[in-house]
Amino acid sequence: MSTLHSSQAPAGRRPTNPLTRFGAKRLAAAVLAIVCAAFVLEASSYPYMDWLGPGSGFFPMWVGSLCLLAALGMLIFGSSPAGNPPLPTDGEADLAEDRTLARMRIGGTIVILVLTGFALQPIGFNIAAAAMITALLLLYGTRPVIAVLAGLVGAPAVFFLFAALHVRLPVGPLGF
Amino acid sequence: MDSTFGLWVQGISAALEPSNLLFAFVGCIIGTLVGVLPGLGPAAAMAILIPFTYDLGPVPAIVMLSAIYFGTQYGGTITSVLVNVPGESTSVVTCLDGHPMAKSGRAGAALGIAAIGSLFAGLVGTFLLMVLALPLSSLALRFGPVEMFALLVVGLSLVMSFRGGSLLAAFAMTMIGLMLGLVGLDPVQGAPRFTFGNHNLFDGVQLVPVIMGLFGISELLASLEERSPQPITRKITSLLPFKEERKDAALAITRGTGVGFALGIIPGMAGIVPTFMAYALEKRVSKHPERFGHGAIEGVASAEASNNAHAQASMVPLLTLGIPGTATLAVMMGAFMINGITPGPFLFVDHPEIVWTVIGSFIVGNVVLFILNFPLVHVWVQILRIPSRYLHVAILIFCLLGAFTLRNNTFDVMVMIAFGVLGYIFKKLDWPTVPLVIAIILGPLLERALRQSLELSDGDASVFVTTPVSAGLLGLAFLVVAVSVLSGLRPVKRLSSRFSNPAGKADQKP
Repeated sequence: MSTLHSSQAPAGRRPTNPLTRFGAKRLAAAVLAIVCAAFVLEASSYPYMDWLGPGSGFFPMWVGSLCLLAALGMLIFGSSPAGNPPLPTDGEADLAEDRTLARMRIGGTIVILVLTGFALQPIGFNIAAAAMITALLLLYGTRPVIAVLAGLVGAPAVFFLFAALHVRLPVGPLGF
Repeated sequence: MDSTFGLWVQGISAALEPSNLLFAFVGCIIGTLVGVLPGLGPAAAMAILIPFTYDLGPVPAIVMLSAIYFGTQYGGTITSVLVNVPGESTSVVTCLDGHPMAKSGRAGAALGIAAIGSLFAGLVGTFLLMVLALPLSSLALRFGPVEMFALLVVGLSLVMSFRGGSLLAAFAMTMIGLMLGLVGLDPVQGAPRFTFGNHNLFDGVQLVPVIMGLFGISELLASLEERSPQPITRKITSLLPFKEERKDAALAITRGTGVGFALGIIPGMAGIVPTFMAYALEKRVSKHPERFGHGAIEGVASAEASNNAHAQASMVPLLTLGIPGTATLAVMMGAFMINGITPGPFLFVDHPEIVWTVIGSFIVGNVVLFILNFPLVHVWVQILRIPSRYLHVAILIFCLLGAFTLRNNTFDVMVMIAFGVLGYIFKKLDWPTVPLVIAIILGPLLERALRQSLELSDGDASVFVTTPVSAGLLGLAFLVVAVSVLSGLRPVKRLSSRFSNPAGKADQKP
C-alpha cells in the first residue's frame, strides 16, 4: 500500500528507516550471496547433464550463479541507496518513542503468530485464536476487558463462519 | 467471426446464470471491502480466499476471484478520495484530485465519476480482451519450447524493468523467485530437489502462503509503524457530478481507457504507470491545467478509467500467453492451476466454455460493481471508521487460517510468517517483491521450456538466436533491460519517490 500524506495531518508518518542505510543493504546483499552460494553448492550435487540433455542440476546451477553474481554486484556497488526521505525534525523524542513502540508491536505480532501457528493443532482453533486475538489487542493498546471479550466472541465466530463455508478447523482435545 | 461472436454470447449467458451471478456479487463486495481497508491488497485477499473456492468448481471460483480483483480497484478509490491514503497502489493518482474534491464537499461527485469511469473502462476493456484473445492465443499456439522460453524471458524482463527499486535488486529478486520455484520435484525427471528430506516441500513452495506473507503480513507489519489516518467525515450527498463536470469527464474517461488498455496489455506493467500517464495526458490537453491537483474531476475520471482498463488488459497476457504481469494475476493463475486449468494458449482450445464464461463474468462483474457501489458507498465510509487495530487482528486471523487450511498443516503457516518477515525486510531495503512472486510461478515453465529446447537441439544453445521468433523476442527482452539500464527509465521509482515524499505535497503534482 502506498501512502500519500496530507500536509495538515501527520497521518501515516513513518519513523526513520534504519534498514535503508547503505550498510544494511550491503549486509543483506552479503546474506543473499551466502544463500546463493549454498544453493549453487546443493545444485552441484544434481546431475548437470544426462543422456536426454540438461539434467536436474543444469537450470538451478545457472539460476543460483546469476543470483550470486547479482548479490555480489549489490555487495560491491550497492543497490540504490534511495529509501524513504528523512522526516521533518519536529519532535525527535516522539519519533524515537514511536519507533520503539512500533518495533515492540512488530516483534510481538510475529511471536504471537508463530505461537498460534504451533498451537493450532494441539489445542484447537478456538482456544488458540481466542488467546491470539486477546494478546494482539493488548499489544495494540486495547483495554484488557475489551481484548478478552473480543477473543472470547471473535474466535468462535470465525470458527462457525468457516464451518458454514465447509472448511474444517482443528479442534483440541476437549472437542472444541 | 460468427463462431467467435457465438462464443462471446455463450460466455456472457453462462456468466449470467444465478450461481455465477451470486459469486460475482459476493466477490464484488469482498473486493470493495478489501480495497477500502488499507493494509490488505488484492493479491493477499485473493490468496486468503482460495481455500474457500476448492469446493466451488473452476468457473465460480475464478468468477469470484475476478470480481474481487475488480472490486479492489473501486474500493481503493474510496480510501483515496476520503482518507488521502490509496487503498491500492493503482489509486495513488486518484488522491491528487479526489481528496481535494472531498475536502471541498464534492466527495460524492468524485466517487460517482470514478464509478462511471470504471464501468466504461471495464466494459470497453473486456470487449477489447474478447477481440484480442483468440488471435493472440492462436499465434501463441504455434510456439514451440524455444519460442516459449524466449516469451517467458520477455515477461520476466518486463516485470523486472517496470518495478521500483534498483534494476540489480529486481534482477536478484527474480532469481530468488526462480530458485524458490525450483524447490520440489524436477518437472522433467520427477526427482526431488532442494527439499532436504522435508516431505512438505515435495510439491514445491506453495504460492498462497508466500503471497499472504509478502503482501498481507508484511504490509500489516509495516502499517504498525504508521499512525492511523483520519477519514473525511462530512456526509456524502449526491454521487452524480454536475452536467458540466460530466461533460468534462467524458473525454477524460475515453482517453484514460485507451492509455490504460494499451499499456496494461504489456506484461509486468505496474498499474500506477498507465494511471499516471493518463493523468499527465489529461493535464496536458486540458484548457485549465492549473486546476489539476486542486480537485479537477477530469483527473479523477482519467485515473480511474485508466486503472480499470489496465486491470482488464492485464488479463490478456495471462489468459492468452500464460504470463501473469502482477502479483494479483499470479494468484489468479494459481487459482486456475489449483482447479486443473493452465492459463495460456491451450486454455482457449481445451477449456473454451470455462474461459469464455470467465471473460463474460468480467462484464457482469463490472456492472454488478457499478450497481452495488452507488447504494453501498455510505456503508464503505462507515467501515473506514473502524479502529485499525481490530482490522489488523482480523486480517492476521484470516491470513493464519488461509495458510493453515491450504493443506491442514503448520508448515504452510510458518512459510507464510517467514515470508511476511522477509517481505517487511524487502520493503525496508526497497527490493521489489512482485518479480519474486511471478518468477516462482514462471520458474518451472521456464526450466521446462529451456530443457526441452536444448534436448530438441541436441544441446545447441544457438537455437535461441537462429529461430526468428525466439531471436526477436530475446532481442526485445535485451532492449527492455538495456533501455531500463541506460536511460534510467524507472517510471515507478520516480513516481513512488514523488508520492511517498511526506514533506513535499506540492511536489506531488506531475
